[in-house]
Amino acid sequence: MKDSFNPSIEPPKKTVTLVSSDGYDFEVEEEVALESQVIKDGFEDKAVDDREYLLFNVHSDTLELIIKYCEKHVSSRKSISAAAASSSSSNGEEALKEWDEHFISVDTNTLYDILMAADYLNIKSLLDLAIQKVADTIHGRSPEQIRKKFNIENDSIIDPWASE
Amino acid sequence: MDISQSENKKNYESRSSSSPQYIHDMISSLKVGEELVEPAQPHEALVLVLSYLNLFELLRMSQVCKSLRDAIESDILLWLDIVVEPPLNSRINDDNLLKCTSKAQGRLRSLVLPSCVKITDDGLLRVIQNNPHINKVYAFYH
Repeated sequence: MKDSFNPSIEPPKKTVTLVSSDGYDFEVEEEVALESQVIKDGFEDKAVDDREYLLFNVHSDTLELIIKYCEKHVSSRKSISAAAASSSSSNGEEALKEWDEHFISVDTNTLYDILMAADYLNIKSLLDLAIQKVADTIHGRSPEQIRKKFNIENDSIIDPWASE
Repeated sequence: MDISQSENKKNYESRSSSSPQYIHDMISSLKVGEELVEPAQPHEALVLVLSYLNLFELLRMSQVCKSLRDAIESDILLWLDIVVEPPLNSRINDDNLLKCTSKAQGRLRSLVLPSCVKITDDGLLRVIQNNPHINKVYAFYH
């Protein structure tokens, strides 16, 4: 007899393993890992029992943050669409924005790490968030203030706009 | 699938540069948190940020250090659509405009000049002649 699809039984959550550059395993739900476009792109080619990704460029400290971000966004998306389906009012989007702002308020080095990891893993919304945070820091600062803020050495170049 | 370094599409070279002695003399006053951190070359993350900056911020970033200037001047994509927002608009003259737009290497697509009082018709014409594919020019006064 053919098996019929029974929607009342939820399938067990599928997981994938992400391995950080310093060798730590992180087991995460498939849908969380798929927030990364890079993982998504290679996902179908991988055998179901071999869903392990070696992330040579992402340290465990950073990976932990990245996973936290992806988990939050997956669960928020679900509750936002659930609220929309039941047409109950929800401030989900706004709450998520606030959460993002809090999430990305980190020291400069951590921000760099998140930005580079989001670029490497191609997580568009996180990359935008991190880049915007750096851009906001640049906004309104003079070259000297930018050097100080980002700890860049002044290898003295000529000001192309002398009136600065 | 291993996600290896080589699969990372963007490969930003780190440019080496020797730091002059006076830099080392200056740094003793610089503090980050509680520890002394020697000023260094800009983090490669900053290169990813460049496309999010407006013209004014881009020009300021290009004055920060050589490697940022090189990154900015050599990335033609940063210069294809130029919007001269305040506070640059009241200051920019024909020469500045030609210099900025020349970085698109003849491929400038659009140019927006709000209240750029120092730009003359001649200056604008030269920019257009140098960039035959330009398809949008807004020059207006409030």
